[in-house]
Amino acid sequence: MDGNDEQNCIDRVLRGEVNAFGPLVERYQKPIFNLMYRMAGSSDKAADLTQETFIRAYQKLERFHPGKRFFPWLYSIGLNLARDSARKKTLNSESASTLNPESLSGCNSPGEQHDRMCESLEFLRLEKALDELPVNYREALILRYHDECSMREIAAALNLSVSAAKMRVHRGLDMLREQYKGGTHEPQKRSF
Amino acid sequence: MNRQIFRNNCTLLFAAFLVVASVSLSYGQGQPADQSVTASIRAARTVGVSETVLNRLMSLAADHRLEDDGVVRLLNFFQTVQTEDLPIDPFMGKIEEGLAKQIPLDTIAAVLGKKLEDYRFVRRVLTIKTEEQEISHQDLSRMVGSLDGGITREELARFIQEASAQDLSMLARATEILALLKQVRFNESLTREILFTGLRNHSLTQSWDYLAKVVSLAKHKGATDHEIAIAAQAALREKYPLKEFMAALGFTSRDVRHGPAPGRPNKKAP
Amino acid sequence: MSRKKDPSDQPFRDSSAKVENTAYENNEKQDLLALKSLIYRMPDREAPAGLTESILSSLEPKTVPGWVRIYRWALRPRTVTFQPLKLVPAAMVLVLGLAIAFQFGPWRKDPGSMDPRQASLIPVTFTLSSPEAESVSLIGSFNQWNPAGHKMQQLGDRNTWALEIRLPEGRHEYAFLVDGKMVVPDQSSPFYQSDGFGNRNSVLFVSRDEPTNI
Repeated sequence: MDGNDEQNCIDRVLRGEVNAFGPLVERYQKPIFNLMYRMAGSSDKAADLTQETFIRAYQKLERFHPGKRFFPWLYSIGLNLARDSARKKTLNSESASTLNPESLSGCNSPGEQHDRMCESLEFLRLEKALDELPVNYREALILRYHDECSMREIAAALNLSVSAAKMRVHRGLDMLREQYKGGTHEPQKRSF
Repeated sequence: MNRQIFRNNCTLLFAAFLVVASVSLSYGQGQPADQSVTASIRAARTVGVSETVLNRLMSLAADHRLEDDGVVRLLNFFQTVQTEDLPIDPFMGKIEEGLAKQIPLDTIAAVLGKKLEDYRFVRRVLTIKTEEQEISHQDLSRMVGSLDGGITREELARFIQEASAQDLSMLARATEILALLKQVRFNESLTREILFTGLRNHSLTQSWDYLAKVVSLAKHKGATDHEIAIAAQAALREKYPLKEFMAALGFTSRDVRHGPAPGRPNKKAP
Repeated sequence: MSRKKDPSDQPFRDSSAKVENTAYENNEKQDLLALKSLIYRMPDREAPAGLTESILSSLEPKTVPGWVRIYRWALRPRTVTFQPLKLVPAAMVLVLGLAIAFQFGPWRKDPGSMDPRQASLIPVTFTLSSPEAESVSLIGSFNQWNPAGHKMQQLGDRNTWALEIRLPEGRHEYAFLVDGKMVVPDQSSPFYQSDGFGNRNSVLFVSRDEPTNI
């Protein structure tokens, strides 16, 4: 689905076709759900917030600017909604708390299982480090390096100027690196 | 005469034998294929080659369109692409295109290498021109694509250097049009004037993607390059969409529908 | 693939030193690269099943005032529609081709049950005159260059191969693959792109045919 397909879906929704909203939900539910999970810390709450984000986007769809990408606009609605819900994020009970990264620091398991475990461990460390960052910095990093958004799209999603978005990404990366250095772990170096 | 043909055939056969032998020898070296594929996949994952690329390569192997050794070589290549933050799709597409056209893997690899150099080249040109300005993968690919559309690196670099780069999407569109207009032998200095007008006025918007197509039709109808350029620049100065430029050339929708495209949109489409 | 120091590789010769200085070689940059790579690979959580249905079921059809639709139409980037120059006999062949393609094509569906994603695509018919060909495939950027994906049908005149497919708006590269090995560009297209392998791909611009467009 490209920008034209999205625009077509939006036009049809505005003509009264509810089902035309389906492909947009299908496409973006995963990144929005993951955003909400980071913000809320639980699957149930994240599912509710995801649903609310799409409903709110649907309600104000006529305000979406034709020719722009839908995702940053949707993301900005989701982010505002999550902030408005003003619920304190609890520690991620489904991953971090059940598997303590430090307890696996030996990584002694054999073969592939060892690789998988080390990798999972590294992702847990990353989540924990990201969790320590201010929301705008964390989301800027995720939009840039996980969702592969351009700086302009990040700026739109976070309601910032492009130069401020660049600064968030740049500074966020430095802060994340500091988090790693501050802990006992450093990111694995790769040979490029 | 027959003897000559026989000699030529023998030469060709011998050349083919040498190629096959050298390829076989180079494939025969190193680790057993399945082990090296597993190791390469692991290495590729480590540097962040996406699961999508891995899946597409593995499905090519599963369809017997790609040998294990080929998978290993291409995985190594994608590690470079990924670590340099270049778009994956144009490279993946080129592999699939090469395999569909039954191009030998060595040639595909050489073409990929050249494409990689093109990306690096365009990125360097843009870095010098715009310093910190961010370019999307799509716009970068568009600029690189213009090199395959018939303009040289020097022409592209000169154009980018002289153009206004306020909006990189418009600049990317302009480079693509630059190549397309060259293909229909439109006057090159008028091409630059049109495109620079659009970039200066920030009016080379999405509808102008089809500029080259309209120019091709207008030339076909007998309009001179000069007439076309005047109409295009006037529309771009006023920030009009392409439609106004077409109206100035005296096109009706009927004229435009009679373009030489190989297919036709269905009127029933919503 | 190693980087070559080819003089023609330098965009502006006097700036080459500046370019070389930007290469990331120190540890700090390696750390940052590793972090970026890690964020890229960070696994996503799956959204709960049935979310789409749940959202759609809670929505009411929208009624947007007419002026809003006009305003949005004015804001929307305009597109241009082109149709091929076809002589009358060629048009008849095309109609026949369409009929055959519609009859046998895998995309044949009841219009009422059409997937919304399919409905946003635009049907385009390709034709090639190649009387001696045993088989012809349409390969292109739209089908990931898969020769098995789009086999063309030989029409009743035994000269013409035709195929209708649905494409999204925009620019597409394609070529015909004759007898599984010979790459043939579309002679009716004025635009091309070198494929790097010594052939040319044709370039096609597809746009929607709406009265509002042109």
